[in-house]
Amino acid sequence: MAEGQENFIGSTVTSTRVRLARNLEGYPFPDKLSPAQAREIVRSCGKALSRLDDFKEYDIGSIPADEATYLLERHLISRDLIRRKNISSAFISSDGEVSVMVNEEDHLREQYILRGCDLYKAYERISGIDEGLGGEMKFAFDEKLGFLTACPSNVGTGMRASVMMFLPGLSKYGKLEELLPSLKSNGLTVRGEFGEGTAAEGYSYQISNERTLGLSEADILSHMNEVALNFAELEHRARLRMLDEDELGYKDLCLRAYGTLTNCAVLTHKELAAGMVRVRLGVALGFFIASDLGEFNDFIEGMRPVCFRRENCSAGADEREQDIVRADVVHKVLPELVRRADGKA
Amino acid sequence: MLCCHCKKNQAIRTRERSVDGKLRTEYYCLDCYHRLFISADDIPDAPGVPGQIAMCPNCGTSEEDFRLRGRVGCAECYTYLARAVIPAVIRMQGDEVHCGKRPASEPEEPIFGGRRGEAFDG
Repeated sequence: MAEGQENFIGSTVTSTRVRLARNLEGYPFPDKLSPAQAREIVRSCGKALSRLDDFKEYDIGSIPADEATYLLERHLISRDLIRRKNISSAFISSDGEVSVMVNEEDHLREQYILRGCDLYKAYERISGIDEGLGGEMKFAFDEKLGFLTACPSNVGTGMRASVMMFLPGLSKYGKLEELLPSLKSNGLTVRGEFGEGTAAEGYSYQISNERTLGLSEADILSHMNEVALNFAELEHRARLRMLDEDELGYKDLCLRAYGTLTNCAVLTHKELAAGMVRVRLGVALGFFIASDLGEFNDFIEGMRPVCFRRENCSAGADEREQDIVRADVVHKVLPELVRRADGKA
Repeated sequence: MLCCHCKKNQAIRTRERSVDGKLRTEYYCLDCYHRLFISADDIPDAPGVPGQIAMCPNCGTSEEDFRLRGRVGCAECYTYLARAVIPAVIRMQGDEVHCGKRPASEPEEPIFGGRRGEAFDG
């Protein structure tokens, strides 16, 4: 068994998201809105949110494409919102955890994201915002069908509860493909990190409830919590099997990646992404100890191309310059976030 | 127990059939059950002229539009296009009713297959 093996839930569930879909009564859904109606909805939403908390508005049609990509990389907006940029906006809270997308597939897509696994906290926070909005605007609702949405797959609670999970062990042994039919029959869906239609990258998968009608919000949260814990347990067993089969081989793989990442002068995003998957694997298998798993995961998120460029490089920096800065940042920051579990430098 | 039709998914619905004078219980998954036994005839008539393709007078979305895109155009479509939309809701979600959170102010009459106030019996 590798020294310093991390708590398996902490190194498996990287983030939690709860999303609520709502539409305003008296307006067609977004794909049928006139520009004037779309503006009214954005204005009403902005006014309502300003009474609840400190939100910044992003008019998706007006912001540079780069900024939209930055928000997408941060999981604060979706590709569907960008596709409807002529009528859409996003309101992001000052702490960056609440995002209200306006005129995406539905009038409102309210979401709360947090690090780690805490579905109940995520729901509590977004439900508070939802109640605040519901107090100012009338939602389209039916006693039997619940909250009415553009796609019937979201009616009822309109709630999608998701966990983002790092599953290298289950991926390695092909267990996810085996589990898929059982997941589906239990009302769950597995997607890539950026949602429907996206591929899994770096062993990261989004697991969420599929059914939204006939279950209460508490039922969905309880079920998803149980699923997250079950998956974490299965992943833990798969990782133990990996160590049993070839601990030294995996250790070498992970340490080499760490060594390269922290000792190069030029580092492309592609090289970083490939290397960080192995460092992350090293944390998961206990070869590295992360001083704070949340900060470690935030660092990985922050190294996405546009996020990294905006936060670390001067305006107009070309790719080569970005690669040089990237190497420097990783050299300085990564050793502060992870250290070898065997105590060696 | 697996569905007796697709033999892949777990069975969660039963149906009794008389075979050689004896009552036999058959087990189906939700998807097969609704595909095999729920038809548009089971849905109460949507408002509009019988024989004409239903269209939502509020947003102009037709049944055909819904079948192609899988999306309705407004809340009223759940009433006017019930014949197409409600089976889709049932296929995706089961023949369930909402039991979760309610908004502060609710509409007076429920929509359901165009006949407000009546439950849908799958």
